[in-house]
Amino acid sequence: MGRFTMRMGRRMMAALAISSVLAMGRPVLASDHADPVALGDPESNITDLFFFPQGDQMILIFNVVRSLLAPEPYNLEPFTYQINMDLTTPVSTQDDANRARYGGTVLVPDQIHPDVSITIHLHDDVTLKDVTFKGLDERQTGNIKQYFSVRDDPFIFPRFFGKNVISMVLSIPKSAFPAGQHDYILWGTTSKNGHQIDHVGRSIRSQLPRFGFLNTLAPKDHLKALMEMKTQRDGIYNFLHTSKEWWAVAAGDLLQFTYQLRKYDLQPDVMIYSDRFPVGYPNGRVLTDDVVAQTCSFGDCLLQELSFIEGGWPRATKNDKEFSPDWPFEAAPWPEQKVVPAATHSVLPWVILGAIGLIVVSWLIGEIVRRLACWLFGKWWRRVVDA
Amino acid sequence: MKTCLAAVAALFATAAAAHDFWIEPSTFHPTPGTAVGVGLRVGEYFIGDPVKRQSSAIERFLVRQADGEQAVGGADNIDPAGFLRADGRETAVIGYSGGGAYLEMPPDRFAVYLRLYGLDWVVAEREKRGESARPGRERFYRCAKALLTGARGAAAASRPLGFAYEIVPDDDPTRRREPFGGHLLSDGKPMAGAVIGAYLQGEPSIRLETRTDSAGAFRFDLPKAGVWLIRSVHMERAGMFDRNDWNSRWASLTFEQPEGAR
Repeated sequence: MGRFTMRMGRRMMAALAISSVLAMGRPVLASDHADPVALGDPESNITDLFFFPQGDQMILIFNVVRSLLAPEPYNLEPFTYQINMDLTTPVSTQDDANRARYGGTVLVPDQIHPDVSITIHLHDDVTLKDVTFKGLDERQTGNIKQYFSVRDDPFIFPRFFGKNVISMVLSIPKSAFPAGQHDYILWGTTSKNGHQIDHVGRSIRSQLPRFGFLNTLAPKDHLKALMEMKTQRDGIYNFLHTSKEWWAVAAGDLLQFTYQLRKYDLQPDVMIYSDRFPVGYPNGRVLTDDVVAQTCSFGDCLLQELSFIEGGWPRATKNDKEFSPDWPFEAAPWPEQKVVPAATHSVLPWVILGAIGLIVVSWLIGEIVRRLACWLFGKWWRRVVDA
Repeated sequence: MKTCLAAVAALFATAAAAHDFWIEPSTFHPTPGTAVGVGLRVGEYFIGDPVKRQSSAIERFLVRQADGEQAVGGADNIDPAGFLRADGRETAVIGYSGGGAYLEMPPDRFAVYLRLYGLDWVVAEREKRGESARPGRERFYRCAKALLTGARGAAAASRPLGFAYEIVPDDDPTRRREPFGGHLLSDGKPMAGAVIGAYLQGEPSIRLETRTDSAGAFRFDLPKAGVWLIRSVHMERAGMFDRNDWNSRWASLTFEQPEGAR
């Protein structure tokens, strides 16, 4: 009984652990639009990173703040927006699967480092406070064209149609990069008071529920963290899935498609761009890329389903506003709307949560009592038979 | 012709029941810090099918590399069966032991399989015991190892992992192209007279075979660079109360021997 109870208890604890993990997961929304860590500080929430060539320039677009329709001023001043580029860590395109998913394979992932860092601070009215360019040819940084404003959210996803973002657009002369530069590894971050809040690399990656922990880590630490998390979650899955209890198996199945890391997840979250291949997700990213469909084609269909759930028929494969072929490329913003004050906090969700908690605890106690009673009865019955 | 086809079919059926088992990583040359998928394979002559992870069947699944020894994690029912983060600084040793599965074979197929693996003494023993007409009842255990080439060699490559049946190279074979020498250990002791086979990946026609000497030592003059599988199977009589009559132990070692002059 002791062993059996312990085994049952471990399974229950594992199931509760999963429930807790699931409960912590907040709604997944779009592109990099919905990293849960960022919802408390909307201005830190990265929505998109684009990188593509245009003539003798490289265009870099970094967007933040999802579902924006409120008028100025915003709360942008406390945040640091940074885009990093590793120009020296080798990238291979030999592995077809990695090339299809990630644009290539970073050969030494724990050596990813920023050779170039572009750091931006904005005023609350979205004008530039300051920008620094580190690692680019100083003779060319004066020629970098810059644009900071509210623009239409370019992400092709119904939930964000008709919505704006805070957009940072840079046109960097190719000559600002080292001569003969072909491969770029990029990522963007937001931080406040020196603490990193959000991260973006390749689109539709760090915002998925299973990758939340990557948002506060540097890319060089991603693989180590992914391996550790995979080992941990695989252990829980294996434990649950080999159980006799149906609910443990069901919890294992739920874990598998929500939080368990997959065999193709073990790559750092960075954007790779190489001018050896045509530009387009996941080789860099252009505004017209339907990244939701593309990501679904290689294994992550969560946003594809959401785009059907929330969108019409047929599924939108283009943005809801035409992009501009000219600077600053993103479409004009949607009209501002007055912010509707948030509803007064209701006590109802807490009542429901309490009721669920009470049911779970009651069930646990009932199950323990039932098994204890069975065990005592069995023991008593054996004594009777022996007597 | 029909007889010939039947013989071929019988041979394949036998092979399907009793297979070599080895580790096939996603790369034998991982760069530092990269993820390596650790595939398990079952088959013949280094042509195998994937074996998905079954935690309940695993006794030990580990990697020994420069930054120490770690368990190789993975999700059940998935191939590759495990994942590790390669240190890359020196040769890494991956080890898997497990099994304990039971199988039963018709007597004629069992005899073919035993002869195929050089276990003629078991055939003779079955005859002596009057079991030749009885089905072969066997429980097998698997002990597989693989070496991942690192920036430099490692003494760990030639140290036993402590498996019940284990092929231990005398030197790190991933460093240079030279004759491959090693020892076969059973419960940590030299195993004499056992058949050892060597197979080159992608060239199933290259099959080498030898026997261990009285010290459990063996040596192969590997004719080509490439990924090699060294394997051996040993069989012993099961205990009186076992359901099976025989326990088999399967050992394998996979590694890539580099190009270069000897």
